Amino acid sequence: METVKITINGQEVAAPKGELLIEACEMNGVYLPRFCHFRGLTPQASCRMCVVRVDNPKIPKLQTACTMPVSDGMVVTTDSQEIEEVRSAMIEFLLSNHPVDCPVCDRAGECELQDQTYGFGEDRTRSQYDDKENFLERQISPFIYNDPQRCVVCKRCTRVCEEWMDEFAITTVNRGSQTLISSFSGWVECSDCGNCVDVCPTGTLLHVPYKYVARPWDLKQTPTVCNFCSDGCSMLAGSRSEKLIRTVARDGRGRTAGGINHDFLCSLGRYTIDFVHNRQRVDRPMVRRGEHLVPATWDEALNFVAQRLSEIKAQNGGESIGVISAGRLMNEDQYVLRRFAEETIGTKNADFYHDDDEVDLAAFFKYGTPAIATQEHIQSADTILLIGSDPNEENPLTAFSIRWAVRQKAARLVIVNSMPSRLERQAQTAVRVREGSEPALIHALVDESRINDAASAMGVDAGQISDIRRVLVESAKVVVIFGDELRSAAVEALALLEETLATPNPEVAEASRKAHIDALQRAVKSSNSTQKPSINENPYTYIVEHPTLEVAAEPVSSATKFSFVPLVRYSNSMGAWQMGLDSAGTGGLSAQAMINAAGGSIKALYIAGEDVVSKAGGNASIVRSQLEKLDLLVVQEMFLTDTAELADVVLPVTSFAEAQGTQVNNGSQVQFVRRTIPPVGQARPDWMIVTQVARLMGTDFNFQGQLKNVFKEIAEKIDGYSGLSHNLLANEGATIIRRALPDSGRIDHADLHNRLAMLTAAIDRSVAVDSSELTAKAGSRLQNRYPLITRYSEMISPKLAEESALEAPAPVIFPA
Amino acid sequence: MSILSNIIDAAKEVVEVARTTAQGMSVTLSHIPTRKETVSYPEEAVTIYRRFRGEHFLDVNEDGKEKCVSCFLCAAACPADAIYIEGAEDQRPYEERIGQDHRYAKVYQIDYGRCILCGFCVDACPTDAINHGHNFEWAVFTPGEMVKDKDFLLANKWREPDVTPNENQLHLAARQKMDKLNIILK
Ligand code: SF4
Ligand code: SF4
Ligand code: SF4
Ligand code: SF4
Ligand code: SF4
Ligand code: FES
Repeated sequence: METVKITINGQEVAAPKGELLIEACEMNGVYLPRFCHFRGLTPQASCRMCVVRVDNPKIPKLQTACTMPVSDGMVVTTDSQEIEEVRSAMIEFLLSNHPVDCPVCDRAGECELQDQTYGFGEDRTRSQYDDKENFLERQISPFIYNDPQRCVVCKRCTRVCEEWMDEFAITTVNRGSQTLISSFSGWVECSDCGNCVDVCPTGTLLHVPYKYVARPWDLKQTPTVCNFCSDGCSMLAGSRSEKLIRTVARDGRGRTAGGINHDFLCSLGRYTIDFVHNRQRVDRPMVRRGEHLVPATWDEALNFVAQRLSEIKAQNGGESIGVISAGRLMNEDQYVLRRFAEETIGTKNADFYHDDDEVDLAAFFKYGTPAIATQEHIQSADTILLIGSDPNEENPLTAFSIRWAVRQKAARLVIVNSMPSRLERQAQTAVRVREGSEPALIHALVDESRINDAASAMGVDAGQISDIRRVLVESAKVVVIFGDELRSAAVEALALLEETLATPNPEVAEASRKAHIDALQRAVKSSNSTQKPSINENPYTYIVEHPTLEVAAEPVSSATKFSFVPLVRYSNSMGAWQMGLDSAGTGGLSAQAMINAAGGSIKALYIAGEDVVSKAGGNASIVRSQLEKLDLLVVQEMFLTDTAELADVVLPVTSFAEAQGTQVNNGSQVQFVRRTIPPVGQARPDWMIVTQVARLMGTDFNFQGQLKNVFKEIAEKIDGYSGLSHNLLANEGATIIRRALPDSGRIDHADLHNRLAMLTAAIDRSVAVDSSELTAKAGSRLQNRYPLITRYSEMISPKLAEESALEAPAPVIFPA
Repeated sequence: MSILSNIIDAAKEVVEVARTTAQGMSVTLSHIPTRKETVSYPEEAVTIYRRFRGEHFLDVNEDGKEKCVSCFLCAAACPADAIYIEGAEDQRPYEERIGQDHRYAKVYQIDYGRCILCGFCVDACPTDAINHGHNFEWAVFTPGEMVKDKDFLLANKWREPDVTPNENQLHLAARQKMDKLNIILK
């Protein structure tokens, strides 16, 4: 990283070139007060709290450190009589029109206005101003309260909504002391991410579920990880009196260090957590007696399970028993389930439940582990290729990172999708193709001669595809983000990109990047010379106005040109794969095949955490009748789901808030999930239950009831985990799991090309390309994405009903 | 001779002892009819200084609205961690709601097994909702009974000898039937 030397208060220090002065000071231990500045947002410079004196005869006035990039030899004073006076005057002005109702304000205790008044203000005011603006408090969305009196008009909230979320759901209205934050229609229609609330330095925006419930100093704050999508946001879970109360994001540094997600969380990670305390939680083991499931003791239930499994194993052999887990269970659970299947039961039929329309990890990892990009990689990418997914509605943190890359690093975003996405607004190239034809793009990329064919299959111009190909060739580093729409052979063929799209030489890449930035600069300048183009019109405003910032941060990139982000569906789908609980690895039946074979070759199923009935969507009745054919169905669940209701035994398990373990996100980063609250009722962690059943069946895994022993074994046995331990992960935050890169020698090119050609040929060319504008409300698909859990959240479930129920899952192959 | 002088000395001593005892007792006995210090508590009222820090009461305002706004500051100030609060929102208009603000304490407990009667909570309260009353009678049979809930603490106010509820506050005073404290405030 290029650094410059600056002098802060007489001390010479180093700072990254082009970094903002306020950040450079903070890096060197000098905190400057601020309201409007927030890392990752366009400079606003409205609060004047960050003023400093720069020793330069050409700059006679105090300067705002939040807008000034550092330059070599800069001499700065951050602390003097003059500066102190300005700061305390600014605070006095703010407070003269502030209600100062801290006792009833939920922000008190973590309010930046409070902190800065203590730190930099006076203890009394000189203005007796009885005419304070008196706006009424109001609720502006199902999740947000607004008390406009408390606003300091720093506009962090509106900028977050525009720049991070691209939603423009809130804005400032009125002028002067009457300025307030408002929605456009009185009710905020947005994806309910709640980020505006979290970044607000005052109590103007507040979370509805957290209203008046507790005080930040009263909460036990536990660093943990979100359990919904595969991005794996790190968060701080606040609990009080054994109740999970709220979650806030963990910044990558500073406030709550250790996170991968800056200050970002989405509506699922933030507002859906109340499912943990839903009254419908199964709080004790249940055993079937005739028609009904009746409560039992743990001993009864475990003995029953062990005895029945042993009987079935003795009668029909181990292969007649299947083990199915859910992609959201943690590594330790998956690992113990795998050992349980292999050693205790002696069956190859073990799989984590994933549908055919989910990212095919088996294909992706077929030749080894390609370079996987983390959020940090995405944020500093040169070019991003997004295929077959809308991260906005599926993996919100990834969408955030993509926008970050575009806005702050002038990354080129290329989208090839069959569905509309809000990210198209940030894209340099956005190509809308036929539904299901995304794989053809990969075909065209790995085989230039097939561009015409592929383009016609996708329903687009061949020129567009060659343009995309050219951009990829000319880019130095490419992050490929792909989702559900990319299937089998196309996923496998991603391994070929590295060799087929190699950049001829570094100069080409450099020239192309320069041309890109020049074009942006021209576009922004010509758009309107007097009026600043709004961010809405041009996402590149930021980079063009602060060109030096582009070089500030060191780009994080992988050794290879291409790196990938497989947008798998569940929080630990990746971990389940790595633990080997996958039919492609074990060589047994897949979860769907096991259900298919129920009553035939499969006599008993042990299902941990998956509602296979509801997941089958339209085929639910078929799955139900299949499960009824089983001799034994054991279900480990939090709720009495449709599947659990059919079970012979239901074993209550802990939710992510009550269990510990590790979880791997789509960037192949393993993170430590901490126990936030004690188990609800008699719930036990999945791994523990399985270990206990195994012991009753005669296999002792020798974990001595200690989770860390499970992980110790994982570190010894599983590729990429060596040297890791719970202690280490708890301290380190997200740690990348590195495994062997793909071995291109193993790729059978002719066969792969063949299969690609078949995929392309199979595309139904009569389907029209969906070129519609995005009309669905932001977040509506996201909030419907994990319905099996979110329906137990009282905060989100009313929205589920409102948004016309569940997404219809793709048909599974079941016998008629 | 020597026997005689011994007898005389002994007699003198007896007289001296008798005299000093009488002198001392005269002081003691002279107090008996004048000031009575022993109170036959609990049959009789004890006198307590106004600034005595006894069991707390939660105050209500003139309109009978609870003054506490559930700010948690008392709990934060408490060195003994004796106060437990759960806040809640009451969106009804002022006339109908429980507290003086939308924000009120749904649960408010003080554990007198922990409280050291330091008065920090009283100092911390921004609304003067929590005050020291003068009750000191805490004999109970189980530790759990040492934890006093909000209703109890509210009713405590009306137990103070010099407090009478106004008409807005009458319903509160009736909430927990508790007798006036048997004390005389000084
Ligand atoms: S919740 Fe998110 S999307 Fe909604 S207004 Fe706030 S920042 Fe914007
Ligand atoms: S609501 Fe909060 S974040 Fe938004 S402008 Fe006001 S003080 Fe700033
Ligand atoms: S983006 Fe994904 S991991 Fe992050 S809070 Fe949302 S659901 Fe959780
Ligand atoms: S008097 Fe002191 S110890 Fe007792 S509740 Fe108040 S602050 Fe706590
Ligand atoms: S008694 Fe006073 S300090 Fe305690 S919560 Fe109520 S208002 Fe706050
Ligand atoms: S932080 Fe610099 S002006 Fe607000």
